[in-house]
Amino acid sequence: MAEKIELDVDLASVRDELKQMQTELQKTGAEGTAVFKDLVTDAQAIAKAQREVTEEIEQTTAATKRADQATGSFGSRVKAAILDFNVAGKSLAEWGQQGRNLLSFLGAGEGAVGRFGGAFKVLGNIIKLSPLGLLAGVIAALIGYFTRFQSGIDKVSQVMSGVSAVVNVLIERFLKLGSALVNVFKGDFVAAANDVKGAVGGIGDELVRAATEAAALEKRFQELRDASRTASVEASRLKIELEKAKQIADDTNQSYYRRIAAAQKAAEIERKLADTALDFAAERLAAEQEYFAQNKESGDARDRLAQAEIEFSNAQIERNNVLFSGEQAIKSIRKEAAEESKKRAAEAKKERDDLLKDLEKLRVAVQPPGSEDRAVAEVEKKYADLIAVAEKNVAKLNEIGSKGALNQEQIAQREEFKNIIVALKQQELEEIANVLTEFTQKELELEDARQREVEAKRRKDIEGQRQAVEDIRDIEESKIALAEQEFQNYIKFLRSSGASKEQIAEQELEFDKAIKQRRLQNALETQEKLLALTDAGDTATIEKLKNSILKIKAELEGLAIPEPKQGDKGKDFLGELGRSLGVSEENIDTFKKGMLEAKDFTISTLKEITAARTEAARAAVQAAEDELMASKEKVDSAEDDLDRELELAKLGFASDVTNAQERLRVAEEEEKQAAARREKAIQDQKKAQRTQILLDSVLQASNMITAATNVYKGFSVIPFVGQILGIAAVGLLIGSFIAAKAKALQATKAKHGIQGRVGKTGIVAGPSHEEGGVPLEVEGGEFFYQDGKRISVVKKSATNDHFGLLQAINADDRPMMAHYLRKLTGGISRDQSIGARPSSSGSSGSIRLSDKETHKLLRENNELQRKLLAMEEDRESVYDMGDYLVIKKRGRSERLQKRKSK
Amino acid sequence: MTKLSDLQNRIDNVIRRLDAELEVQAAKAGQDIVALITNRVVQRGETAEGDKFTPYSTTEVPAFFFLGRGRTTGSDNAIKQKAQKKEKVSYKDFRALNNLNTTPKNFEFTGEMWRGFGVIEVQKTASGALVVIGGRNTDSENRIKWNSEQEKQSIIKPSKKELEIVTANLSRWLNNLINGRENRT
Repeated sequence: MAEKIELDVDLASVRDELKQMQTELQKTGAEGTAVFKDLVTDAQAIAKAQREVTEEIEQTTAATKRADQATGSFGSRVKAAILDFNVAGKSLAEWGQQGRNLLSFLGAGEGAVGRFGGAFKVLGNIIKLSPLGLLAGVIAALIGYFTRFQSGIDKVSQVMSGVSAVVNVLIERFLKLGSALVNVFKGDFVAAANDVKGAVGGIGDELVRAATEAAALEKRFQELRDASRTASVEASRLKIELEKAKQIADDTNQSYYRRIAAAQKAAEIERKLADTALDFAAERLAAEQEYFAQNKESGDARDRLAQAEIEFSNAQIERNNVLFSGEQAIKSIRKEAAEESKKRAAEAKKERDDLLKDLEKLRVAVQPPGSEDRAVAEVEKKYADLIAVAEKNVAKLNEIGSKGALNQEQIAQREEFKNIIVALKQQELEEIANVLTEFTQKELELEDARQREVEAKRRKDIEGQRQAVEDIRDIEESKIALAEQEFQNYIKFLRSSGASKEQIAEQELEFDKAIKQRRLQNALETQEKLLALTDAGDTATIEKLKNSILKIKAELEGLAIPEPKQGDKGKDFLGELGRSLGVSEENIDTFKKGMLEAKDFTISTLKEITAARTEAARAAVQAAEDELMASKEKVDSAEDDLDRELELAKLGFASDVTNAQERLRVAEEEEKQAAARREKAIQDQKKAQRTQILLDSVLQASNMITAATNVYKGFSVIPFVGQILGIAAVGLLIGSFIAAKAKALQATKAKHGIQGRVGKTGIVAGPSHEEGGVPLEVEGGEFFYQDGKRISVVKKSATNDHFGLLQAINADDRPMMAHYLRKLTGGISRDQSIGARPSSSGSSGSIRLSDKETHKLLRENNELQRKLLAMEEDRESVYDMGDYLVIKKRGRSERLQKRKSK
Repeated sequence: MTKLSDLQNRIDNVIRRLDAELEVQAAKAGQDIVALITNRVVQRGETAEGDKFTPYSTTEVPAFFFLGRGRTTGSDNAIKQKAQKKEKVSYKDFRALNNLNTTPKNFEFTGEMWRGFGVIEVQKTASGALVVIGGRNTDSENRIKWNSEQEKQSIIKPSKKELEIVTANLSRWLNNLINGRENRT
């Protein structure tokens, strides 16, 4: 990241100018060398002339005074020549001629003085030796160079201005040469030399200063000229814009806004042009003032200054005029716009007035025909038109009067018109009053008709209300009838729940009383409503209703059942329970919520605990069974070992029968202990199962709360006594539940159930669930088995004999079942006593069975195996999948959807 | 009285010195403008047009961004504490922690960039001289470039007035050279 910075000091042009100047100086130097050669020659001539002049002066002492006078005349002539010489800016040819004429003048002076030819020669040499002579050469060279090129004109002009100033200085100095000349003429050459020295000394610096100032001024004029040219171009462009703006400002088809904007723009352009002109005039004036200061003796400078001042004044005036005319143009357009706006406003007002008139007409027209407003509007319009005619004529006469005096006839006419206006207004009022009176009369008639309609409607409404009262009464009667029906159901429920006859009779009595009171109350309310609807004038009906009300009230008092308190409706079972426990009314809701939360928490906790206990018990049983099974395996193994040792002993080989028998004994002992532990685990499992039953009871009790709540709500619809009956019914319901539960628990203690029995197959026979099912309690030592549909109980003795087989079946452990079957159906029976003894016959000692028995056992065994396999194939496996059951049989599976509990 | 040969000699001398000294004078002018720009931006925080640069960022970033970048051990410790607390700081806050100005923006933190800012190249041209200013080392150059891109303008652009000053100085030297008034630049 870098920044490039151009430092522009116009170096090229400076360098070029310097080089050009150097070139010119070189040329000038060459010419100057030639001049100096002449000067050397002239200096020698001067020395010679000095001597000659000295001699001549000595010889012509007498003519000194005359020479002095001649010198004065010569001085005047020289001064005149110098004044002419002072004019700068002349043509180059004039300048050269001017230089040449100088010596001619001096020559003329010599001629005038006659005797001073030598002195003039000296003067000429002095002039040649002076800077003026040198300057002439330099000027000639510079002019000669610069005038060759058009582009150098400005430079030449600047140089010439400087030269002019230089010449002025030189001339002033030259005047000092006059005194030198006098001294020469006096013969005082030392003084003359000093004068010459004084005239020449320091002239360089002064020449530079004068030349610089003059050149700077000329440059200022040139810059002014250049700026003027540039401004002219800009002014031309602005004038084009000015013309456009003026055209827009003068164009009446344009909007005033645009015209004003254009006029402002035109004024701005004109002001800008005037400002520019004024600036140039001021600059020109300043430059001319400076020029004049440098050329005070010049008439031309004075004329130019005067002209510049005039132009400056004119520029000021022009600028003021421009400002004024610009403002005037804008004001003119604004005035025009204001007049136009005023005109349009007047037109708009006229349009509005016309519109109002039209609106007035239309308002009358849109009033409903025959309406009061229409009639009044028509009257008003009629008179408004007439009054407008009269007023128009009055205005016309007033206008005539404003232009000149009215005659008597016209005055009379105007008065008549005014009177007519008054009369018309009076008539208008009267006519409007008539119209209003007419319409008021009509309205009164309409009001009467309306009142009659209202009365008829009122009577109709009263009749409707009476009908509504009777409908309400009928609805209440229907409710009472429904309550009676509900009550009958309730009584049936009580009977089925085991309520006593006395309890039922008491309930029926209370209910009858309540129903009677409700009917009377309904009748009372109906009569009171009818009384409220009866007209005050209908005294007979009122009297009749009042008597009826009194009679009903008397009957109600005879029943003496307290009327229900307001707000009793809607109280629930838990609320009533809370109140009965002394819970305050404001804490009832908290109590109810707490009860429900406690119930949920208790049930949830009980469920978890019971499930855990049941699972633990089941696991313990499983572990005990596994242990037992392992013991049996060991026993089997020990038996096999013993058999092998016996076989070896029988064959005469060395054997370890005794140890084998010991190991068998130990294994059998372990088996017995494992069996005992299994028994204990089963007992614990039963306890857990009982706990489960108790939990189910709790859950049922919980459901009972819900049921009780529902019962309570149901009875609450019964008027008056509903809540009391509801509480009583709930009490009975809970009592019935507890009794039923007690019976159920009692039933579980029965060996074979109360209503059911266990058949020979082990399958329970008894009533279905709908009929109460068969409560079971399994005795210790019995085998209880169920497959989801059926329950089988194996007798204690059979369980004891075939527990291993039952366990194998229960675990679906087919190899184990086969093992037991082998044991049951054959295998080689061991007779330890025999095995321990060698055969007495001396034979091989074989204890083999006969082939017949063997064949029989094998056949039976095969048959059993076949049946077992067939049973296994037919066996249904049921898997609980949560929402449904999967039943598998013979490789096929069926899905059975569970019924949703209500 | 001045001799013609003196005048010629003087002109020769002027031309010769013009060629010989222009580059030196342009370099001086470049140094002048570098000083003027540095003073303007660092002291006053102004653009070449006299406006202010964009303010220092107040967008907060995790303090650990500034870890080890402070000018002092104290500021580094302060940043470290904030980083440990998982606090956020803005660059403006970071400058404040380093006891630096937070407004106006002057692009000075360690000062390395401005120390590296100077005249890179000077060339003579037809009309005068071309001076190239910028970062004299890679680090300074990159920082100037990055900051200029962020500001969407050159932060080392000279103002019109600064250019006028140095151009006027050069012109004065030229005039003095021509007029024989030496050693007055």
